[in-house]
Amino acid sequence: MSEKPNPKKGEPWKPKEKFDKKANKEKLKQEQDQAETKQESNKTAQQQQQQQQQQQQQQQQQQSKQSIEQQPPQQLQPINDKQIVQTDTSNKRKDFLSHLPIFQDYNSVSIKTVKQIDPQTLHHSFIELCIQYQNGQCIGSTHRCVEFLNALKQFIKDYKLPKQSNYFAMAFLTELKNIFNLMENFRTVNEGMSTSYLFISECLMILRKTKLDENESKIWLCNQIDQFIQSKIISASELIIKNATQLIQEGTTILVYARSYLIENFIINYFKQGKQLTIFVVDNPQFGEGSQLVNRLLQQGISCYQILLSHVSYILSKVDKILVGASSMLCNGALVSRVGTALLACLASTHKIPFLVFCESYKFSEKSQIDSLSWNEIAQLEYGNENQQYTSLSLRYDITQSNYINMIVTEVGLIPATSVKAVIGEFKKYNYVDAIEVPRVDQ
Amino acid sequence: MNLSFSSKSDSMSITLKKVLDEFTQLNETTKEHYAVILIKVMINLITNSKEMTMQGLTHEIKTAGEYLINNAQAGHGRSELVLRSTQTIYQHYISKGLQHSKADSMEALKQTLLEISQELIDIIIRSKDNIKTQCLKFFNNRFKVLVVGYSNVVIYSLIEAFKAGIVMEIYIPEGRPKSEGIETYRQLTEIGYPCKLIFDSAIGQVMENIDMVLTGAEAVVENGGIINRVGTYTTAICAKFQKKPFYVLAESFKFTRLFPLSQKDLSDSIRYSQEEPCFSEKLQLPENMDFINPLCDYTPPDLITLLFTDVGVFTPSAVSEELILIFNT
Repeated sequence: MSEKPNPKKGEPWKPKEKFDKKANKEKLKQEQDQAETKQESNKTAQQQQQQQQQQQQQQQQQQSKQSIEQQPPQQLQPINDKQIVQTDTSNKRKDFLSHLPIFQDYNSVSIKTVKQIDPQTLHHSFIELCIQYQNGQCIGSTHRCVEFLNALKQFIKDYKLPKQSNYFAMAFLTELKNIFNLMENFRTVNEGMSTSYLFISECLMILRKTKLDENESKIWLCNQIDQFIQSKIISASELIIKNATQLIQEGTTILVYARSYLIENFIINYFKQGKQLTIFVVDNPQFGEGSQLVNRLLQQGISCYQILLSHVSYILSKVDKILVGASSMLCNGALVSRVGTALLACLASTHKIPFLVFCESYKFSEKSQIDSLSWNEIAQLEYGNENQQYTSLSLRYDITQSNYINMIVTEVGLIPATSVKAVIGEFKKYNYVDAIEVPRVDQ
Repeated sequence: MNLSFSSKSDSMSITLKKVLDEFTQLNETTKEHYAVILIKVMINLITNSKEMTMQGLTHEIKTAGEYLINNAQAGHGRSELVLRSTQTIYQHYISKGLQHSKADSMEALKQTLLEISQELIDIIIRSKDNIKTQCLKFFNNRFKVLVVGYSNVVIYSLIEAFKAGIVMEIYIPEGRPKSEGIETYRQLTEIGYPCKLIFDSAIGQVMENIDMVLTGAEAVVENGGIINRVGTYTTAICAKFQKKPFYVLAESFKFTRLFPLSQKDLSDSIRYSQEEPCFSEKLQLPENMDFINPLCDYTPPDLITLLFTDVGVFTPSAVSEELILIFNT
């Protein structure tokens, strides 16, 4: 019989060390890493670099109004690649969700780890981006993708070929893979960023065959990234707004959930044409994105109603259409979006209200998922007081099945949820994006 | 109708009237499908055209098509949807053909257009046969079938099944207000099918005994639903509730890029026709009565089991992929 240890007052219950192999492994790992850092901390040159970087980031921190001064100052030690890993809460995580990554907002520990990154491992533009991810300035799939591509362009300009290799393309491809691996630690790479990675690797394959020198390749690559943003994100959103404006007649009542770049622009555009809509904005109190949307609309002079997700059922009888944005669309027609969208879709189907999704085509993914727990992000994981043994959990995304979705509005047209894979198949013929122009060598 | 150049307006309106007269004449005299008639009229338009530029010719085809769709009657009370979808596909094939053609002179370009048109006519004429061969696998002896509306394809498949030796019991609802079910009854009993006419209101009661429901379509929309004679939606709901298969026989030129989400999204000309419906005259009708006379209704895809087309047998979710293939190649 296993005996249950009585929790002493003031101490949380810990599993016996013998049986908790995961905790043991991580403890060993931490001890090894600490041993390594002690060796490296003896180098003074690195410490000087750290201080410079700390000053830079302190200025950024002041601008973003963070109360980091309250934390006790610790001795900063340079961290190499192996150490950029979530720590400290992994011991206590419940087993059935231990496969999900945690990216907690406003967490002092993770911001500290960002500050300690050696600039030789990760370029400063990416570090700024990670800080923006952490403190909530950069949220939303389109925003994150565009900011990432801008940071990547900055990195390309500063990048210098190592002396061993002569070819820009192959060296840069390995650099790109490293960057993506490192960025995974701070926020999962979303579908838009994966498509841009595929696009850039196609560009690099084309660069391999040409004989451009380093500067010209960099300029060409930056131009290609600009074209990607222009055609796949900006023009696509204009087309989507145009398609949607034909769908929605004047005077209808629409319901919107959380905040989506496309839907926000669609509403503003619609009102600028002089037409009227009745808008209900549904908010999830955990993330507060609905309030951000309401504020933005009020700035443009558009009035709307704001309600919570739990209050939706009694106004649904007055709603004509429901509009929702997407983080990505999966191959089996499922929608990955802010948590709470699946609830709204269930309610919509019982009341027979059309459920429309706005999604650009670069967010279409070849993955396939049927439930919300096989992959997700944990937004918050709080442990209760010492006497109470509960954890407060909130996830960031959820999966809406294809039979709840009536229509997807994309820049290629209006499609039902089941034809996502047909559109992906069409794009695969063209290297995931429109044909890439081969650069010509000017002689 | 706005015509851009006033100097050409007289000749344009003359050609339009000629086109319309030709269409109505062919529709009444010959027994060909009205989509085929549309393309034949277009062929005559191209051969007799005096335009010297390709732009002018395509503009003429487009305006003639629009004029026909708005003013012509396809017969048997059909709506303009079939003509519209045929016209869209025809224009798409023409523009693709012009892009890929290597002809230099106007005459050669006209020749390619005529070849394309003839190909399209052949496809349309063969489409009925393709559908029939796929349907025959689903018909069995002593089945009880409910046939909704008057559809050439459905009648042709049933006649061919009878010739192959499959005899089924057929229930035909009358199909108010145009009562085209009576025409279906007439054509099927001539061949020798045992048919029974029923009232539209009796569909629910009869549905228990039925093995499958067959219908045609006026248009197949992007999510796999269909737009068909009013009454199809009601029958589909009955069939779904009683768990009977609902099969739609439609040719591929009826696929459109419309995407209605509910009955409200159909255009007004389809939803409300201005003709007075023929309500029963046994009782004295009140004067100045207020009525709603919809021509067509929209059946959503979850009520449809299978779609039989000349490019294959589909579930409704595959229609969108077919549309992408038609319009993107």
